[in-house]
Amino acid sequence: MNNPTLGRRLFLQSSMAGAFMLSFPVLATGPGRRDEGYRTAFLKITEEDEIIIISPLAEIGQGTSTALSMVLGDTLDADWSRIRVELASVDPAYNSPILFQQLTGASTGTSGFNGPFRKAGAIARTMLLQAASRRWKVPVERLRTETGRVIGPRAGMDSRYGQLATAIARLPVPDTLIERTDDRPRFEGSARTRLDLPSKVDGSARYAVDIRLPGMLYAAVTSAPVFGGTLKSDRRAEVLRRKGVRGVVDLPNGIAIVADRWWTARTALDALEPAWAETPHDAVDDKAIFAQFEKDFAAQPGVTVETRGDPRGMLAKAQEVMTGRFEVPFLAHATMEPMSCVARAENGRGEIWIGSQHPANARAAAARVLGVPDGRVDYHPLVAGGGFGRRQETDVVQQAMIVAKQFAPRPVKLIWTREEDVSHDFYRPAGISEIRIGFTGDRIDAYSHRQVTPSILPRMYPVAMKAFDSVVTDAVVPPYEFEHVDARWVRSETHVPVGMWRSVGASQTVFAIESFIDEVAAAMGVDELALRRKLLANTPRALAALDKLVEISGWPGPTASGSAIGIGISHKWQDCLVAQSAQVAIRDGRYVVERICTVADPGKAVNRDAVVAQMEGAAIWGLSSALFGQISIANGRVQESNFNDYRVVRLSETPILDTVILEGGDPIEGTGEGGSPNVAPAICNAIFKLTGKRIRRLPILDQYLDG
Amino acid sequence: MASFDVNGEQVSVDAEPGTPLLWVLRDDLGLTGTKFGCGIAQCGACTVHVNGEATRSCLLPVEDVEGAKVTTIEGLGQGGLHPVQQLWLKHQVPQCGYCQSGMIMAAAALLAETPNPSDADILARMTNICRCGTYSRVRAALEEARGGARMGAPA
Repeated sequence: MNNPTLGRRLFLQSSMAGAFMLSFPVLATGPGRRDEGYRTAFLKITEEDEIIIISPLAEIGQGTSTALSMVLGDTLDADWSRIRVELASVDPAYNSPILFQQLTGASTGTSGFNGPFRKAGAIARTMLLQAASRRWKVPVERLRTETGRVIGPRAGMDSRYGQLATAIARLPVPDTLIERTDDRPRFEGSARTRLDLPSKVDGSARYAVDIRLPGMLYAAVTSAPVFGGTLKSDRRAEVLRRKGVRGVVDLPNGIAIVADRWWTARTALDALEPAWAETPHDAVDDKAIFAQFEKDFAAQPGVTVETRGDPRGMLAKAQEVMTGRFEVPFLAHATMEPMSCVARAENGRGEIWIGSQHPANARAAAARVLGVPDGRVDYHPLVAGGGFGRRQETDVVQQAMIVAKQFAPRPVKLIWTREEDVSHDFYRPAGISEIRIGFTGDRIDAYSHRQVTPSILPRMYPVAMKAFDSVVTDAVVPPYEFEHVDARWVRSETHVPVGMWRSVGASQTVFAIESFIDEVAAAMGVDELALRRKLLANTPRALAALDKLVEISGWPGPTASGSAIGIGISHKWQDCLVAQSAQVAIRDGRYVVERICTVADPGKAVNRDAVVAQMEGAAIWGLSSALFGQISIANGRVQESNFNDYRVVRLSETPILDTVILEGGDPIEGTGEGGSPNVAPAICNAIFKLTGKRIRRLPILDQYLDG
Repeated sequence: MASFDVNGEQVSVDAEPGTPLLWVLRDDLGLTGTKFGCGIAQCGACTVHVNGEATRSCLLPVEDVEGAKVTTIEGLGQGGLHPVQQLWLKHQVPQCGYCQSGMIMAAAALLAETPNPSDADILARMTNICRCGTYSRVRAALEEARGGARMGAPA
């Protein structure tokens, strides 16, 4: 991480942080009830010899439940075939040691929880040895574990963990842990099939959309097209006469139709013909939004995000000063599973079925609807069809519970259409980045970066908001060893809701920085790798990543196919260091990205193949947004509606992906997002080589293809 | 009323005319492995086999499958795992997994028809959307299915 203080500033609730940190070892164990085996926050061992790992994190495809099973399974010396995963309910025991709340975000799953899970496994193993020692009346030193068994020195002293589970539940938590010293292979670092995959290839995995309960009703939703709009009138009297329609329920800024089948509710939406009241935003479009950004940018210096040395003085002294502006649009998540939630209310209690990245908030949203304390709502965690930050939100939970309350005690499954999903997201903020770099010869004298964007934290995590928003300004200062730095942020709010979106602020800042560094290198007359190496001369891991990238990518090109290779390097907050290249050709009047090479150093890879998968996925995420990603606003509303006009990459556009994971040593860093932000600038840098033109606005689409 | 064969069983469903096969499978027959992704036959999460052919079920009126043989992800392996499902596990294709039923059904139909598909065959038939970006694993699994020949870069 290039800026550790930035990390600490975010989310830090100092009064609570210490308490949760200290509580982990204690919470890792606890007495179970008689005859129920061993039951703790992170690990259960049943008498049937099941090893159940309880994942505090949502399973949204990132595979952390398997990574945590690997580290716990290692210190426990478990039999892998006995391990299965459950997803955690809501409890402070599951608060992230990094984010201090039960939140799947910022790529902190494995980095945050691997320590506590290692410890939980070691505690249980120690207790298993102690329990066997008592049972067999043999000193603990003469016992050993082997792949899910405790084994003693005499015949018959061989017990599966499950056979000792109830006995260990009665033991006190040990003061000192007996660590494994054997040299048998560990799960960590080995190839493991992810534990959630069998159910994802045979169709048996259950997402919120798949829940079926007795007496369940179905709901489809339409919301005010202009965010915040309210209903004026609709044709619900006619809709209510339709066969199978059970009700029309008013939602905040929207309407739900409830029916016996989802398709009945969905088709009834088309007959509802809602008319929405005028709003102050009915004329807002992208032009107006960017005009506002420009105006605020011109009027305000912005708040300081980071400053070093004497940037102003050094800019004045520099032989040359270059300025570059870069624009990015709003972007939708478009998770494959559209927003969906099952809810049920009865006698002042509630239940919700959903895969949430922020379950405490989901539960609280449901409880608020019912007017009951949060603890009166049960959260049934499920795997989710993609998260990317979208499932930190609770809008769909609130909607589902509003409907369920009206139809209590019947459960209600509320599923959004894709059109609703694309047009009512919490989008990646649009914004402008302006970078000024002063240089003399091939020496950079000063770096200044000023952004204008809407904010995310005040709405989502107000306690974490400081003078500036640390998530939209993430990585505004690159890992380069600049002596004189001035990074500022201008806040400019719009009526378009914004939220966390895989790689968040780095998706804007890294696009600007890694594009502009190439421009400066060209102006200096040095190659783009040499300049980066010079600026990272004292960062050995970054140099190693760049060296590996050159080795695998064929940089500098040109390639046999006449394509060009552009590069980028970045280090997002909490995520790993990533160097990437994009090989781009112009063919038949369009840009073709032929190959993306990724070198990532997360310190250590627990489940290497899953880390590779995260890098591959992040590259495609970055590629979709770079090439096509755009949510456009006109008449106050989103113009895109579905995958036909919110275009994303498909197999035919998927480059050859080559990924190398380096392990530079502790600490373990995240891997969920860092593989994304470099992709756009690497492509744009390649396009610059092909066309001599600099792309300053995403998406790339067909810019400069017509010469 | 529509009658057809699903995974080897004859079913009759009483659904409103025009109800897409997808919602009959999911809500009437409880076969939830087939997913709703877009509702406009763009993403392919709803892909099933109708008389062996990969078909997007989100726009297909149930009356159109009268008498047809429908196979869903639940019936693909016929008791075990279909070779495509095995390849999907081996290459650890799924991430969130939501699109993978459709992706697997598309691949199984492609390979049943064209056991040794060319790059063009694969790109023409594998048009499903995956937001996790598992395409390179899909490609690797299909490369193995056709005997290991690597696919070229996009053209």
